[in-house]
Amino acid sequence: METRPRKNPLRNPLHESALHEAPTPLEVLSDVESRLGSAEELVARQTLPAREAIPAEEAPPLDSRILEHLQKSGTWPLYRHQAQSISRTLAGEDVVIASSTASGKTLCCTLPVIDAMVRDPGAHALLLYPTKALSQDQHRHLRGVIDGMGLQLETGIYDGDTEPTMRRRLRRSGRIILTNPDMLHASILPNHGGWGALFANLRYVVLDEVHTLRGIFGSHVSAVIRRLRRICRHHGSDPVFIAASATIRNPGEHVGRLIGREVSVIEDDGSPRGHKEVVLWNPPVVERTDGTLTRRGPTSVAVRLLPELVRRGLRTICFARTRNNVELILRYIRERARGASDREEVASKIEPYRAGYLPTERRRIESSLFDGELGGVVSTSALEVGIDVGGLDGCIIVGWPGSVCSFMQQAGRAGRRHGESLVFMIAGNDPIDQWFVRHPESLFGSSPENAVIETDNPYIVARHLICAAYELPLTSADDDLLGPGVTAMCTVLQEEKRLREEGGAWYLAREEYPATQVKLRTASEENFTILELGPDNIVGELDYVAAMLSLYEGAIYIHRTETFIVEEMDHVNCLVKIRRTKTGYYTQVLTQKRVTVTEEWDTREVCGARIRLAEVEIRTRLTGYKKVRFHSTENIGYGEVHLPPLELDTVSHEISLDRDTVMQSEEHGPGFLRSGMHGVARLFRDLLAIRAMCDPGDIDHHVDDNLIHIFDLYPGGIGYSELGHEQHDGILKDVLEAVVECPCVAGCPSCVLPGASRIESSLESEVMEYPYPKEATRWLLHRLMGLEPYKPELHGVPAPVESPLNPPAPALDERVERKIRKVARLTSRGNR
Amino acid sequence: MKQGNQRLRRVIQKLQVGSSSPKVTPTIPEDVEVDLEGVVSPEVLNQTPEEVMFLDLETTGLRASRSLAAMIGFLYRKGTILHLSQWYAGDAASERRQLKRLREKMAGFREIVTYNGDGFDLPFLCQRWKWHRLDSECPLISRDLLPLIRKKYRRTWPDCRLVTAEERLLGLPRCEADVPGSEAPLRFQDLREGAPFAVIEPIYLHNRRDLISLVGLRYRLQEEMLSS
Repeated sequence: METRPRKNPLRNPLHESALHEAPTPLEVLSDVESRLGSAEELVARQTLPAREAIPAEEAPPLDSRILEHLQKSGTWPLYRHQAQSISRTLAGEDVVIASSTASGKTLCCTLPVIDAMVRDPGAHALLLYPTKALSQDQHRHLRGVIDGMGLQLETGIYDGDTEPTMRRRLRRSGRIILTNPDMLHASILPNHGGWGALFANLRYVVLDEVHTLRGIFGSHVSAVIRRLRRICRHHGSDPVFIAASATIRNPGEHVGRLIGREVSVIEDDGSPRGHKEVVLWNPPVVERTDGTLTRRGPTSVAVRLLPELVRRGLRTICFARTRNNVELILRYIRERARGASDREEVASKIEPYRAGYLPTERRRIESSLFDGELGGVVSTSALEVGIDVGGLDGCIIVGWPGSVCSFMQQAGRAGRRHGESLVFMIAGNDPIDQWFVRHPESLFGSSPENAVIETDNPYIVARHLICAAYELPLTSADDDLLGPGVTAMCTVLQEEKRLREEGGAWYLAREEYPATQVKLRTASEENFTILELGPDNIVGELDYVAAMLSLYEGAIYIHRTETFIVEEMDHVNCLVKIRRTKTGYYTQVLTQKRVTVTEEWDTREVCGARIRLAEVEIRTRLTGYKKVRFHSTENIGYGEVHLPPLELDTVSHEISLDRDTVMQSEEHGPGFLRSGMHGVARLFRDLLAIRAMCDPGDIDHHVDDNLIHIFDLYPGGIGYSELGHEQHDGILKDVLEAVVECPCVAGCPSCVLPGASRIESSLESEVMEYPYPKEATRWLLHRLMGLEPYKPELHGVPAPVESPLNPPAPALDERVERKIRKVARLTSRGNR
Repeated sequence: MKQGNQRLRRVIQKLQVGSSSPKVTPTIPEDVEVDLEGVVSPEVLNQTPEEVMFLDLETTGLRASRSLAAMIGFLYRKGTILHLSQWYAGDAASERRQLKRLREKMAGFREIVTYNGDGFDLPFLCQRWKWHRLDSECPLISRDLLPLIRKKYRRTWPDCRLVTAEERLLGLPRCEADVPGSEAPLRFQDLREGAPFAVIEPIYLHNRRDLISLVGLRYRLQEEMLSS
């Protein structure tokens, strides 16, 4: 991003008014340290030393006008990895550049594109960015280079925000199109006839931030890219792919799977780096008024730390995990500042940023952060990917961001080429946070993670085959791009009357526009628009599932620290009407789940249980909501919700405890087993998330009777619970380690108890109030791992119950049981 | 596939439930194949070589990328009669069948006569062939009558539409029941949405009329060329 002129990026408004020397980030850090109550709070400190730039030895064979421009604009010489990557791209190789944040990947992508435009007046290029905000930023950068060279090139962003006239213009004469995978899928590919010039002359496809194209989204995008290559081939082009990634362990393998052919990997980072201090901060355990112990929340640390850093002149970005957290942090900061004019000035220099704001509002915040008008910003991961917000001095990460890769990206937002920067990672109470606090070496030492995509999920493949059939009839010629099973899958789709065969080609069996039924990122069909009554402003948008779980009538919606009450949900028009109101509470939905197995895939006996991998149907009923007071988080009331249940077809790893285990647990009293099951389930899910390199929020668990379900929160599954099924024993070992290593006595949210950030409000009080969840979990783990029986220490618990209240049902003949299950399955299928 | 086709099948059943109400594709009506006798004078007939195909498409829209060649009408001389074929396609799959048959049929001819075929019908055909992943070059020599008419009568006629040419050169005013060709897309749409087949009968008549006029016009233009 070297080419963009900066409006005094080092200026800090607060400093200039205060007229004193700005302390360096390291000075600020030692100051913060000296004021801490206990040095133990800072559990690990890692110095990433400054690094010199490694310039390229020879210039890549770019057009002389481009080289001239680079020299003029001070971007010369290129770094070694940039020159390498550009040379390979120009030689026609697909490449992926995997290097750290701000290492100049953008130029690796844009220079070959501009080179093609300069040399060939017919050449076109397609640039794909995972978010709209990123394409805005990258377009500004690209225009900077193009205008700086005095070229006449039609370029533009083609996304959901693009005006119809601009859309027509880009279709007709756009040479470089910036868009996102969603738009490519839903609008450009289905109408490829209108984009003839683009597809016939497509030279380059740029995929930026490919490490974000993983999991569900990545699996969909890989199908979209296969469709893209098919359309290109139809129009007579075969574009070269240029991918840019954060440092992950498997960039070559990942991009290879994503685009369906082998790529060259450039990992040799030659960019300079400033000195960076990374601090892991574990907030102290404090005593509540009722005498119980709790860990101070990361939010409350951030609320104090962020204004401190901003006040001292460090431009700081603060990453929170959820949209709600962003709003909460800012609200608390403003509340704390009230009354003191200097604090208020600091607070006014901090703004929130998250998805759900209107594009114009987001653009304004981005640019004022870039220009240095803002001292700090509180953001969700929306600002994590490559949006250039200029060099920042500090970064606060509030709670584990979900993956090492995300952590590195967020930490990379702070740091200039030269000079120092500070990164604070404030651990939350969740097991994963605490796991990394206890194992900091896995953050700094071990190699980073794998990006995982599933190219075989039949939900994804079938949907994209139908989309592909709309674009062009499917034939056996598509085997090499869409996979060798195309013909077989088409036959099934024909039997189900979605496709129709005619002379060896498959067509849609009816008139439809299938792309609208396939969303790449969520399972939800519609977005809800949020309308503020009174001024009648549209304040934002939320996707279907998120809206169902947070916007029911009576719910409190927090937007830019203001509270609103939801007055009406209009499901027909997907409109939520809210009214501004002052409340002292927020709301949390209460749910009830039911899991039905529809097909069993694999089953095996393990110690104390039978585990199986199965396709399941999960119905979530929203039963009501509770009102939670700000700050104290106490319950102050309940409300009713009248909504249809949410349904999810997915894959589950089911652990069904055997009768013996259930009966033996009964001697430890009521609530013991269920508490243990919840403990195992929660930790299993979190530790599986680390192995599957996904957000723990992509996996859910449910405990029912003697069954523990660990399932993917995506229709058809994305392979997470399959991984759990495969690595069942290994994960249980991790779970036991986490329980044993946790310093708490009876169990805490860092190990076996639900964290405050989870929607687990459906728990019965018997489990919530069970006094020894940790002992129960340990006992169950010993059973499940075939270890020596564990003797739980249950002080003051009633003596073993001699005759269980519910005697076990008489054993059923296995064959009879199988038949009953089969009937149950068949009938449940028939009801759909 | 990991879990085999059984799973895929269920997935698709699911997808179907979620999608919009299914629309029934009408069955293809029988293609029209008729021998026309006495529709042109013996003189015109004799001057029409057997290797010439007269073609007129009726489409569901102007853009080939998102429209169907819903009716392919063509005419040729077979001995002492004119043979008319009109092939209907209600969806992409049946369009493929018709387009493929058309290519096979074309192999027996040398020249193709159209009205604005170079501007519309032939590029449309080529694009549809290409979309269906069939051979997409037009194998016949194109003879588009519109440019010839334009060149000659542009200054004297109000417009150069086929109807005008018919009236002025052949002296045949269209009957009242004739629908303009521009109405075809709407009528095809109605049919696909469940209207009775009768809604496109006027299109059949219109198309037949156009084709017969083409035979006459070709003759007239040739005559004029020879005499001048």
